Amino acid sequence: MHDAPRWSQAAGWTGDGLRREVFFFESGGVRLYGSLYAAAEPVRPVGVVVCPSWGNEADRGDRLAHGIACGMADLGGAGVVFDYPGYGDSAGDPEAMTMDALAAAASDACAAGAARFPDAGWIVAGLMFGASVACLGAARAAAGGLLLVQPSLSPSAYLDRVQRSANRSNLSGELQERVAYGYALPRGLDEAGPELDASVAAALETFRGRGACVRYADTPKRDPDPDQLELVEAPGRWRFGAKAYPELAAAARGWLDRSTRDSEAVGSG
Amino acid sequence: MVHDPGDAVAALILLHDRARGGRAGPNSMWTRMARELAELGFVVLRFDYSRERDGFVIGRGLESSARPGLRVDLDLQLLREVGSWFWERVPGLELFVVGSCFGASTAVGWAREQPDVAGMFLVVPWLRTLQERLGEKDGGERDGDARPDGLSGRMVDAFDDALTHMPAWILVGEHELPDVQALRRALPQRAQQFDVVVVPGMALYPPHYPDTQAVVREHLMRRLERVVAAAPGSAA
Repeated sequence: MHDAPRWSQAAGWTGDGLRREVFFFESGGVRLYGSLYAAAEPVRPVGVVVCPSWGNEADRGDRLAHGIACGMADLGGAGVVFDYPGYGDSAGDPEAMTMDALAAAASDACAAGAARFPDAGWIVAGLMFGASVACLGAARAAAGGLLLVQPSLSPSAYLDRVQRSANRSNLSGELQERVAYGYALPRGLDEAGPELDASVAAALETFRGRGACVRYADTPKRDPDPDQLELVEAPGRWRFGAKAYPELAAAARGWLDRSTRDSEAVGSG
Repeated sequence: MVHDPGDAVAALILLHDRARGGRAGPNSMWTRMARELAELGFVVLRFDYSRERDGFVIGRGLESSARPGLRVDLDLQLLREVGSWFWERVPGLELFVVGSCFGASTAVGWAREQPDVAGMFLVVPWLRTLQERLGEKDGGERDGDARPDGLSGRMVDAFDDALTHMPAWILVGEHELPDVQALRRALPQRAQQFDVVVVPGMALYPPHYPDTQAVVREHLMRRLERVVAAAPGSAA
């Protein structure tokens, strides 16, 4: 339905030094949506796959996600943003989503990016909740780089916090179960709880590539900063659901620039 | 994104509201509806506005403090370009436009320039000034455009032009009815050219709550089913 020949040629465009392509790729038997930014004339053989946050925060953070991907293309490399199963233009059931499926999606997004931007080393980036996905996805894809932006490294605590926040903002007094800001909480993520958190920690612990944790200097202390990654502090204060995060975007881009000048450093892990 | 059933009997541009993630979660209605409309017989186009998702690079250099009207102008220009591209690829089909909230205002701005568009379907079109919607905090200049009845002079003019060559169907909640009544009073010569459907006891703005969307979907789909049934080449 979506890819009749008369439309598919419009999926790619090149101009102003940028190559754009939108595409579908398979992950776990589900068709997912991806969006590629690449330098028209690549000078850095590095790509970054961006794992968005979840639900409302993924909506609000779309400019940050696309900004990081586009920023890598501006630096001469490539970036891919993709929609999780059941979200955006991806098929799948959001309530049935599992961390394993998300990690597989991130890894498959790397492969889809590599098919379109070959001979590059790949960095997996994760925003907020997506940082947990990135840790697992990077391990699965054997990616050489990991960029965690304002990370939440306990998926169960994140979802719990978001649901409580959503209920606080609902002044009707009716508490909503398993829904936050209109998004159904995935059953599999909720139930896996501590086991899931441990798998994220283990993936981070065993990561041996080049990585950074980029966060606002003024951030509520929930999770310790991962000590195996370079810490980059952006000026300002973290706020859930902001319209834009220009300081985070600038800090993430700065790290991408510094760490990929010698692109040999971002090989596959 | 184009949803093409392969044997379409009509074409449609779907302009969702400007809320982020018009394709997901509470707003996924527009994605689902595009797919349902394709099953009904429409070839449907939807796209991201400037600075949003896949529209990220459009207006990239625009400062966040830029006058809100600049983004509106940019999105109208985007619709002109994307709309022309789409239309060239659906020869022989009648083209309709559906817009919700901000998308409805953009639809009217575009439709006034498109005498061959067959009709517009508008859900809670924003009829007042941008300044009133976005406020000073967005750094906008005053539009200086507000009429004594509270409507935007620019929107009234756009409606006046668009209605010279196409009909409009407008869906509002009872709470939004006063603005549409004001529009009727402002354009008495066009009053017969737009149908207004009012959902009693409800506000349809903001249009991104699931219960509101269910009502919008039901009304819109029912109306668009009639369009398909009446389209040349329809089996109905």
